[in-house]
Amino acid sequence: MVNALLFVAVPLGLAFLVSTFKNVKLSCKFIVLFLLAFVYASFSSFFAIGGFSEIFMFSTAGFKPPLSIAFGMSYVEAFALILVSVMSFLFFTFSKKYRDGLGVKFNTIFLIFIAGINGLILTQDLFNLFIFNEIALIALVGLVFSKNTFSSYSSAFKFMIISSLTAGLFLIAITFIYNLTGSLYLKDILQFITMNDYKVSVLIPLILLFSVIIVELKAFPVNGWALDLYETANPLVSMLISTVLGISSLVVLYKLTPMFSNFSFVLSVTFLGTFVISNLIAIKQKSILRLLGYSSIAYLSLVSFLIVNKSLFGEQFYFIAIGLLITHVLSKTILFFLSSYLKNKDLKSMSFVRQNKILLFAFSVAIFALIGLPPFPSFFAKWELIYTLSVSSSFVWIGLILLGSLFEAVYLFKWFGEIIKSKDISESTFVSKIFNMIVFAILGGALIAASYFLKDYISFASGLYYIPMYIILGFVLFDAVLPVIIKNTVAIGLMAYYAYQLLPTLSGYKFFFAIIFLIGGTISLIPGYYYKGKREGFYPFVMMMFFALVGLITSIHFFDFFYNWELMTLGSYILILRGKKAKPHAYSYALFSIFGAYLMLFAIALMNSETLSIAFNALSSVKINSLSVYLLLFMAFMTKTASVPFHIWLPGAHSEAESDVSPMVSAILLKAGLLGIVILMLNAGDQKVYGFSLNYILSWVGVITALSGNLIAAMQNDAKRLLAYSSIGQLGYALFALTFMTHLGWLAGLAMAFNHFLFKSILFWTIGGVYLRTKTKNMYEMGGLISRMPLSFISVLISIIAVSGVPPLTGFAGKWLMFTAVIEKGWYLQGAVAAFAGIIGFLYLFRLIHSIFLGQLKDEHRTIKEAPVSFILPQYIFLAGIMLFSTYPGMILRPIGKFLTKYFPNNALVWGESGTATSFLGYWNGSMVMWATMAIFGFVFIWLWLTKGKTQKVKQFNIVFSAERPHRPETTHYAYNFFVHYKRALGFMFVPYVQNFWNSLTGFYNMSADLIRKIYNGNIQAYLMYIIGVVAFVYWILV
Amino acid sequence: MNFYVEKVLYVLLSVLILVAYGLLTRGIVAKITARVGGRYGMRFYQPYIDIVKNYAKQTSISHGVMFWLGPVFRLSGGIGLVTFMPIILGSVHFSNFSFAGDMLLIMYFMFFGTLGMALGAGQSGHPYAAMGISRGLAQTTAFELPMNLALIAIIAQYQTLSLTDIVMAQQGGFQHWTLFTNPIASITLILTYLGAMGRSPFDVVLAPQEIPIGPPTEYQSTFLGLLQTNRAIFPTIKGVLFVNILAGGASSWGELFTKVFILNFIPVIIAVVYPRYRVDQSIRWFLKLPLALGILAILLVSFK
Repeated sequence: MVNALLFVAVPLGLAFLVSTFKNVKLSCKFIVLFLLAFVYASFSSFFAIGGFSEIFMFSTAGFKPPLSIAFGMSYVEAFALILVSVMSFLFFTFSKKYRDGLGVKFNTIFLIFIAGINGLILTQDLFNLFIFNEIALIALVGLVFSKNTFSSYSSAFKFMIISSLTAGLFLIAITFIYNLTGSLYLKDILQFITMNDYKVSVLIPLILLFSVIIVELKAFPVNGWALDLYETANPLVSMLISTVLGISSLVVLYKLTPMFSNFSFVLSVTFLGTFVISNLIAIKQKSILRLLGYSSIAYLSLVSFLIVNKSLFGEQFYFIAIGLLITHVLSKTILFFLSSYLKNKDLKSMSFVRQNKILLFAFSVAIFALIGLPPFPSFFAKWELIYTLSVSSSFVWIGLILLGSLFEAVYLFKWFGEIIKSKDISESTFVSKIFNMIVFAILGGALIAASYFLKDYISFASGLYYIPMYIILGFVLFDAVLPVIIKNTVAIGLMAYYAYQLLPTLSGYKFFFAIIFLIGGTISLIPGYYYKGKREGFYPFVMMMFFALVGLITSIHFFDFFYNWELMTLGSYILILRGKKAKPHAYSYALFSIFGAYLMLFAIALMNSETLSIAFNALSSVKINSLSVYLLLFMAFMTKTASVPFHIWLPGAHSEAESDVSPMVSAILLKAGLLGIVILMLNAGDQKVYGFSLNYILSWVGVITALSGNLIAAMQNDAKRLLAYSSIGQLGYALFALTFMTHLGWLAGLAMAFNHFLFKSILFWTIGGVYLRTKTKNMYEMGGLISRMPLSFISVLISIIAVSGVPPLTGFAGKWLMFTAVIEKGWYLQGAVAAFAGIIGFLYLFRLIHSIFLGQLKDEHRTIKEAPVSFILPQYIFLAGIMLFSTYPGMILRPIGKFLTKYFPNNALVWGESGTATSFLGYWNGSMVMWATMAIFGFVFIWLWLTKGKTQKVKQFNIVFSAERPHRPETTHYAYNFFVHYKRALGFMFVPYVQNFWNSLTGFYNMSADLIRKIYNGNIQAYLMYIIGVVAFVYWILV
Repeated sequence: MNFYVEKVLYVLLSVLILVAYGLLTRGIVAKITARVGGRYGMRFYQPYIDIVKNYAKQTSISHGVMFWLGPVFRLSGGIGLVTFMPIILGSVHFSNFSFAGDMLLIMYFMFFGTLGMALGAGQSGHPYAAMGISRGLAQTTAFELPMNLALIAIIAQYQTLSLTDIVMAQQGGFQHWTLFTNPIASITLILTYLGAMGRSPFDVVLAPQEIPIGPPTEYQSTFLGLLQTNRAIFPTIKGVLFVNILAGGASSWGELFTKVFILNFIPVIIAVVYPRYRVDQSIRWFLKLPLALGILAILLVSFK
């Protein structure tokens, strides 16, 4: 164990020594040596400590506390020192270019700053706390001054005034306390305070101390000074403020918290309030540094909240704190370091990271770690935070944390999208030197590595299946090296092997969804062969999405499920973002996904607080909050099935995605929401609201989704948007059928889901193939493509018959079952609306096939080729599936019915020998219908063949066009605004009510962010007034 | 004789009977409409002559494969309906293949021919064809909503989807017909039937004046022959369906023809009185009175 005094004495001594140097380079060498020793010393101190309760005390001049300067070293101090030493080392080595112009003075100030920070961390004495605080802050002012601009002077000056006010308050508090206790040793003070609870004489110094703490920790609203500092200081110095100073403030809070047991509620509100408000205001920020400032403040406030409520978390406190702090420190370091290369300060100017893969990697890792997505440490930490809070039923805290995290995701996703999709790569001062690369690679890699070690501290994480993560990592490492053809083959092989291994072990609904995710996933990778080059940034995320989907199936409890859910969101978000114009749509997809995920987390917390279990089947034993849990989970899954009113992200996201991504996210990914609903419903059972079935209301959600999806699909001019809206409608049907909670309803729902999986894949592949050839998605710009792309036409023809539910193809099975179930359940009105929606389906289906393949061929398409083979092949595999299941519907309906009988034994279908399915209401023989239709078709075909006489094929314009001559294909092809009369008749149904609702909601948040932001007017007098106001306010409520 | 061979032969016989009857009705209705309009009108057997003429044409013009297949789809749809419909109550022969599926099959199979025909007409590249289809689809969706409500009310009333069972339940005198046991649903169905028959005021799809004959614009000779064959079958088989649902079915061909003729005469009467609606007007019309009645029918059956 190193003597803790050295952590202060050495930098202080070195500072005096260095200031005498003429040679800057030599001084730097000394400092680097010192920093290395500092890193080593803090690590060795950490490992010398034996347990959480152990504390090593060091004192000066042979005196014992309270007479000496008492330093203490426990795990907390040692860990803080590790972070401080590593960050200071990084700062010093990385800031070489900046330092060079500033000479020895800068080095001296830096060393004093370190000495002050170390003292703050180690001291166990209130007065020394004050002293070291002053040292650190004055040194910080010097560091900020070093930038030598007017704004940095101004903000540093404000900072000095604020610190003198707090110093005054601090000193008065110390005087009071010394007067009362006769000691400045923290231990003694604490003892005294606990014995003299609630006395006004004790409260007053505590209130003063409280206000000092919240100013130092930059709580709302007394943090204006800090924001100005973050914005105006050099980004490297801002990194020091955010990480090193932040950590030392947290340690101070950790030491003083025991005194504030009466204040813990006020402190919690203050810190969580700061967390929420800072993240809210950050949404409105345009300057990178100010945004990072808000983000730092928010993150540190969250940790502060954790420290204040330490007793709630038990041993897990350390795990959560470490997870959050490591995320904060590493990602903020990455982001501030990157900012130091900027020429401008607006959000887009960060786009230079795209010029270098390592920078891009580090940037992305930092953003996603801050959002709290897996597999980063903050994910595990936040989960444990919420989980532990739920045990003590602290739902207000949970709600605030989730709200703040949602706001955090809002601006981080937005920023990420801006950077990835900005048109030009911004200018920067970045030079790709090996050293810079290594720094960023290490920082990014450390975030990933940290999660690998941290996950072991969550008991639930033991069930996580890690092989997929290694595979994803493998794809990341080889992403820039291998060509598409190899990566695609490996990916297909892996998926097929996974399917081969996993499928035989599954049964029931798990098997059903595994077929969609695994077989569907494997086949949907085939079109990838079309793409040339390396296609960087595709395969890691496609694998991430598919593995996470499978992970959802193999989950045994909600931790696994939530982990995979978030992983799936991350993978699919990036896949969608790859589309050319996908920026706003991927963004809204991400937001709805995160929103849904947090609803799910809240529901899990509610459930856990009651049942102390996060297993799926615990849903059935929730009693008090069963309705809230059910609704929250249902809404969470609705964001994924894109049901009204959570559907607005889907059309853009699915239509702007790349040609082979659209079928993945539409035909396969949407089923994740259904899987969630299946798990929810099977475990939670039917819910009652005042004796009224909740599912009755949800059934209306289903049919309204089906109706609006189909209606709006019919009005689209863009083919992929049409298909996207159609997905909303189709999933609405499936949702509707599931709400029946009957055998037939579920059979219908799952049959429709399976059917949707088949035909939507085919349709997106064909339209994707057409898009690759025509380079347009506007249907009216196409036409007559049947002659150029006959194979695609056949695919679309068969799929739309399958969608529409017209016999003899598979779609009819779903409709027949659904209406039988409707009559059984007695939900006639919903049934009629569903039928109406089904008929409206014809509108968009016909429009799709007609506008693209029929009508007039355009001049520019006369020599167009058939879609690529890699797109045609999977279509025909699935077409074979459709024909097979149409002819033998029992092949799919019987096994589903069999496992459904376990849950819903009543009114199952009875299968006759000839393949006739009989329900309690009617009967249907799919094979017979198929054969009969084929026979009739054949008969009429031959009849026409025999009687047709001599047929002459005529040219395109050779049509009976009453006394006019067709002028151009464009003016003859009836396609634009195809159902204009429908709009005229039912205009009110096409008002985007839901879109307007969300727009006004986000408008409201933006407005409030803007309003709150205005309190930071940059005026130091106002800032001082806030502090005094807070003191007065706290005095008023506590005394 | 083999069961299926026998069935197929009886389906063929049913088709022939229905074609003959359908053509005759067309002729008679045309004649009556002309007389009401103050014209002498064509001979009642003119449709027979037309159809023979069209089949006998030596040449035809085609716009492509789908154009070629359109009429095949269309007529297959018509014949399919005959195949899956129990036509004569109690007749083993004329119940055809109705064991393959219930009423829902028939309701959905109606779209088989329509869809195929629309695709065929689409390939002709004629804007009037596309326009007609767009109007037809729009109008269909509008009357399908009240129609579905009424049908669900009736299915809920009888608790079966089997047409044979629905007909059986109405036996024992006209007072047992759905028409009298469930008048609201029946009136709704008849109102929507007006739309399904496509006569004035709901004939904007074929709109003989503005868009010469709509979707079939480009069809001629044998293709048109197939379409005309279907045009004989389709309204009749729809009539059979409605007679089965509303009026106790029929136990003989004579009874069937009488009932179908009376039912099909309702649109004829209305057609000679009311002028044509624009498509947006007809959509709105179906979504007013018929929709209200449909909802009423559902409510009545829900709270019985």
